[in-house]
Amino acid sequence: MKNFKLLLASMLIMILAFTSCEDLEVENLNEPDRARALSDPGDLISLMKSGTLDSYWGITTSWGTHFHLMADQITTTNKSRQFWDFAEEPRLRLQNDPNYGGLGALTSPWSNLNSAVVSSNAVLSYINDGNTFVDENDNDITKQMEAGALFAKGFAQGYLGVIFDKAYIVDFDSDLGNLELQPYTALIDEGIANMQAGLAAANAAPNFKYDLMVNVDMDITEFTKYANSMLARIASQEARTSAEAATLDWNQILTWANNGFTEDFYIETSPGNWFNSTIDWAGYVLNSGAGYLPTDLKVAHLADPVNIPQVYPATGVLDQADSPDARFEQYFTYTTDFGYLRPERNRGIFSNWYNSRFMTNNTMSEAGDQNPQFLLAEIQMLKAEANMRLGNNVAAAAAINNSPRTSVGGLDPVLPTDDLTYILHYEYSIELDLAAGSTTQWAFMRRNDLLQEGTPFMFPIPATELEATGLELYSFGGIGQEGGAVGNGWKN
Amino acid sequence: MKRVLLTILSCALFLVSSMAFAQDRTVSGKVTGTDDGLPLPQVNILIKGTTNGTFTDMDGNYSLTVPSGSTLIFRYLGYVTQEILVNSQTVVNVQLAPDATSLGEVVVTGVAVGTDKKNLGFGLSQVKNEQISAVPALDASNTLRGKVAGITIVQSQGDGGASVSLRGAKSVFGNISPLIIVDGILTQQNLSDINTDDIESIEVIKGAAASSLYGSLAAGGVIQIRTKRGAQGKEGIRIQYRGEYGISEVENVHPTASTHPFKILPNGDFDLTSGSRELTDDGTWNPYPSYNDNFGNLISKQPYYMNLVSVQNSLENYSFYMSAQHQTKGMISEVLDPEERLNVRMNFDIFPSEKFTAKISTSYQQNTLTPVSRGGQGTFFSDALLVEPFIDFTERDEDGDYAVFPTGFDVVNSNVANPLYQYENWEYDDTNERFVVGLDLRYQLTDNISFNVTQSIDKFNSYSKRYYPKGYKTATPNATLNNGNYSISNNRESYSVTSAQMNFNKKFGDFNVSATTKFLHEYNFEDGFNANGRELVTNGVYDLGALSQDNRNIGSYQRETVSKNAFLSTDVIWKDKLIFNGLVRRDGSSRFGEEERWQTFGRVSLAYRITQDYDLPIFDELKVRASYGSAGRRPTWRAQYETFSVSSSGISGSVLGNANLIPAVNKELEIGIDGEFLNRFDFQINYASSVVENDFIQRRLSAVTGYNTQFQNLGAVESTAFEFQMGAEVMNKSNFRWDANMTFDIIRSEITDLAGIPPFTNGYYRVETGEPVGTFYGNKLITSLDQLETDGSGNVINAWNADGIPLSEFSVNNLGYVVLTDDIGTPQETAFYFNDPDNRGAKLQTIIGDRNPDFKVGLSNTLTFFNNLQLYFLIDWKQGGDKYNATNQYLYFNTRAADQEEYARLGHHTNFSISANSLYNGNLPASHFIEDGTFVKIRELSMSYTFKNPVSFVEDVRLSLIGRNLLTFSNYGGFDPEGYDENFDFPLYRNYTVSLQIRF
Repeated sequence: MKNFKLLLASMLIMILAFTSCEDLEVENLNEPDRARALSDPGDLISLMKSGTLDSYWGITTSWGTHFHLMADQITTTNKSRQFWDFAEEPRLRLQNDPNYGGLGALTSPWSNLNSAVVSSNAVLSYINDGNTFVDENDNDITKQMEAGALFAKGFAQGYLGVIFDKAYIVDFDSDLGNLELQPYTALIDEGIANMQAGLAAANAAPNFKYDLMVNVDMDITEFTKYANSMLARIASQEARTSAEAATLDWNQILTWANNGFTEDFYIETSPGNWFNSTIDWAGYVLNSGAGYLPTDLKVAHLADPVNIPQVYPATGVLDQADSPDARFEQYFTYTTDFGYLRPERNRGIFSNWYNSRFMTNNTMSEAGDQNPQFLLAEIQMLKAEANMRLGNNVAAAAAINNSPRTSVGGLDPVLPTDDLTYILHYEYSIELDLAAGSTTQWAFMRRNDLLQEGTPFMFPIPATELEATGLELYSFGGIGQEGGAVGNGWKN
Repeated sequence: MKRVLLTILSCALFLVSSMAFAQDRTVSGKVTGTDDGLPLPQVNILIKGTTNGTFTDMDGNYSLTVPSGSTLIFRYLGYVTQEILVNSQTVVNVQLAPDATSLGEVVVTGVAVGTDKKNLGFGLSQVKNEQISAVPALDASNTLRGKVAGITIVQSQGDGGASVSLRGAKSVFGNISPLIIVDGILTQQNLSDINTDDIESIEVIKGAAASSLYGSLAAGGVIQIRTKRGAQGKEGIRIQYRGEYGISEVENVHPTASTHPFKILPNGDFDLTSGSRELTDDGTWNPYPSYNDNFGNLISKQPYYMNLVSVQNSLENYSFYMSAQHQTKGMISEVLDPEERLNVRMNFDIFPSEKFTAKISTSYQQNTLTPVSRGGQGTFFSDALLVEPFIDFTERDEDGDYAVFPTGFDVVNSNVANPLYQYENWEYDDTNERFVVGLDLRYQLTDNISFNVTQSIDKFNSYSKRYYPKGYKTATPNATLNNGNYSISNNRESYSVTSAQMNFNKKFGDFNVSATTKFLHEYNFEDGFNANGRELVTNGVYDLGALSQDNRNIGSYQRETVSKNAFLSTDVIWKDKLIFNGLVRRDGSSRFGEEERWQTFGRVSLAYRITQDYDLPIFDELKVRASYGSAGRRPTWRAQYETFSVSSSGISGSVLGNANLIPAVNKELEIGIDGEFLNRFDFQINYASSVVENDFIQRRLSAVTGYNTQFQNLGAVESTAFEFQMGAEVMNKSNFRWDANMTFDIIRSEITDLAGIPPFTNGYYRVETGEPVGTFYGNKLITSLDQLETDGSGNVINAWNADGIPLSEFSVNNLGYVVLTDDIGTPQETAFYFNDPDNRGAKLQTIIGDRNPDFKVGLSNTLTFFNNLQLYFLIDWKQGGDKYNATNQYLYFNTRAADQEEYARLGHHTNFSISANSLYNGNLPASHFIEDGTFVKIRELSMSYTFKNPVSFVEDVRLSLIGRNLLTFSNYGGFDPEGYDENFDFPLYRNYTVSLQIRF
């Protein structure tokens, strides 16, 4: 028995000795962790490039199509991604639920834009600690990185304010556990302030170069135009209703627009990294010749109000539009094929056209494809609208006449006494279709009371985010409900 | 007077007899075994009706003081108990015969050393070779059906292995797989990989109460397969050949419509005057202008064949077993290449002396697979079912290829691809192979101490290639494939386990004590790469370098896991009737979070063999037992690490790290009874209650943190299982023998805690505290008027999109759904969903079904006539358990479901089934598509005849007719009621074969 006890004891000791050896440390060599990723300036530059890319993705992912559905730029009865819910007439309330198949329309911009802020903060924190960045020739590019970080942060915050009713304002020294949600007006103010700070830092940087975005390489002059254009666009998109639009500082917007782009700004596709996926989806053509997401009847109706009705007829197929505007047939292709449109769902939202202006080989993802980011026409429309709202119709008409409306479309010049809002809507719908980021038409229509009744005019915080932070679910849109547009909109 | 005499006489007799009884005498003798004549030590000798007795010594001798006329019961493990009446003898020698029913009952699973089944403190189910060989299963998991209670084997794909799980859910997401051990080797194989002809026996232990020995590997239980090793007590080389040839076919086809609901012209063509097809106004269904059975043309009977050779021998100092098997499995379609499997096994045991044993186990397997897409729209089976019959998939286009746009394609306007085109034009190569080697050395130092050292390696390698030629046609333009596409991926994994063990065994008086300590070291390494691209420069070049440079993608990964484990196990057996086991195990793994590298598990069990003390009338053996143990489940490899995702465009936060991640732990209490009675029946009853804590949930984080998710230990699940299994030799006459096996189980699980995170949905299933694991979640249709709620004015308030409609306008239609009475039979007729009171404008989402069965029964019978003719069948009964038929749901959308024709016959317009807010529900989970999955299946049936010694050198020849998956009786409307959900999955096969086995 004694021997047995001895044996048992020695077994126990052996086990203890064995188990106290610790070489169970196994690293994950596939992906870096925070310590690795955020300690090396090279990695931080990489992080900032990714963050800048996130900010661009915020308004160019495939989920950007949902804004166009709400703005009657495209249409469908397809329930994939719950597209139809956003296109249906009369308009439906948004279903802000964690299981909702269309929630990507909210989570895609929400996560991309917030992610851009996080990356920017990492860089700003690093600089704030007194560290520096150098390029491959050992030149100090700290100021340049600071400019890029501030600009990306401001861009992202601005767009968060454009899209959502509330969001977080996060700085590198914020206490993440105690963040309070801020209203969209605060987000836009913060966004504008940061973009301006970014522009100021760019001006202070020696030999400034903006190359944080794929296939983009701007010097200080080009970057200044770019920054001013974005400031004008984002500031103009703050208003949810025409009443609110009247309160915006249109003088400032006009100044920014005057310092903006002087020619169209396209970015070339970087395969595997970035391309404008909103256009890629909205412009996709099926083998039958129909568009996957056809152009909404509104666009054809604007081009030819005589022959094309506002609601698709219950029987028959519409003929090609007979428009005085040469651009209509250039930018949009007519087809008698209805594609995936289902008559038993809602024939009233059918269409016979699709946007064929930008796609080559039925995609935007190939090397060499040119993605429109900011057309000169948008600057002209911003100038026109600003002037109009400031009471200067002459300048407004002049700006419109200085756009492809006359040079490409061949339409008669606009007079200061014409219904300029209607003409601006026309230009946003036809000239700027798919070419101004995902929110521009939606934002233009909401600030001019042109959205159909019940259309959500802003998004709630996505349900998945609300759930992750323990907040109550809420939503917008629907006829007579909170967050839904009032009045008949453009069909008046 | 007579009476008095009688009384005195009886008293006298009584006195005499009691004096005779009371007369003690010493009886002695020797107990030997009839099999080898050798003395049997430790035989238990009991005086019947008392608790007095003794044991034989090492030489089989005993001596006992016994009242005359007593009956002595001689009982010994593995031998048939004998009772001997002792009258006047003083020497009683006994020969005990080996007990056929308990021969080979030494089990090795869940215990430190081989232990007799009678000494286990926990439940263990065993399936032996004879039970398997009647119908050698194509998937080894099928050998356990109807023989092991508490096991759930689900074959939801016809071409895949079945998923196996034991007892109730161990995770909020469902159940987990058991650990598979083959010949003591911890392996990553699946049961479906193993050649069933190699199997000698399978041992199953079902819960933590038993599997604690394996620590953090075994929360899902353990299945151990012991393969043949040649030692069968017969001398001389034995060679066996078995060949099987037969046919596989689809067991059941999903019903589809043979007419359509669209307007037609007088000549039968579709009416396209409004630009596209339109539904008929009155809901009539019309015949197609032409009819092709595309599904039938695609699916056909395909051959199955198998050849196997094995050689084994056992000699004084060594034994071996070698086998090679090759299978060719047709895939129920002409266009799909058959899958092939090669299995080779070599077992070699050496015992040069009594003290030393060496066992070598090696196996090699190679599989060639045919990839077939399934699981939704745009897959092989969805294309085959959705295509409308007026389209002919066998049509050729002007290039001579199968038409990707056959005539009529433009009318349909859906993106159904032609599978015939795909399989004629793409190329693939999916191969995998596995090599497992194990070495087991045993040394008996003294009678009491032995050592055991093992080393095993399990190496797996898989390879996959896909090639689409330039000009590959697709239904919708696809830049990825149309100009060619080539992809290669290669993955390999190796798993090495080293262990050292010391065993101690000694008898102290009435106590038989044994202790074992064992150390294990596990090392797991996996790596792989994949490369793909599009736009081939020219056709026919299988070179990744020939792909357009801008469109190439490459990726690779590598992962390591190191684990170290040790345990100490002690068994104490008192007087061969009271059995105690205690076990402590310590696991360290690199998969646990940095702060939590070491975790402890353990088990305590107690068993009492009642029949050692009491002589029960019919029970040969009766044991009650209770065991409480813990086992764990390791987190997946990625879970603890903080990661940023890396691509050529930069890096961004992905998963937040968790240095405190610990294994999910399963603690189980199991109580049970094992018994044998009438020497012909054996049974086992178990009740197990298990609690799992710290289940892993990948929790979503707020976007401001910069990370998307973090793995956290958050979930808790409780489950209970009641199991009953019985094996019976129902009848055993000279010319007829009937053996039967029955299993019955009831398994329940419930999610008990989510640590405060809100309930969420995982695919179709809901994860919510207080609900069973595996409930379906979706929108629910109103099926009776009592479910409607009204406001003060009698208007309905809880039906979606029906605000303000008076209750009086509703009624139940002939399909069982509440509708507006005036709309019945019109295009406006719609079913109503419950409204979500908290979320205006949304339908209520709620639990609409439960995938767990009420109970399961398995029944297998073997009837042997004249020792030569044998009939065997296996019946499987699952009662309850819902299944979600998503296949049918998508067929509704495309007006291809047989249901819809039926609804039209019953007077309903097509809109009733296809409207996005009626039955179809926009393809979102809906109560109409929850179906009852109850079934009774005749799983296996075989008839075989054995010719004994037909020629001198042939031992026997056995010819069998075998049928698998023969018949299913069920109300389920889809492909098959097995499984929890279906979405254009691979249908199950029915299989008929002829098998010829020759043993030399």
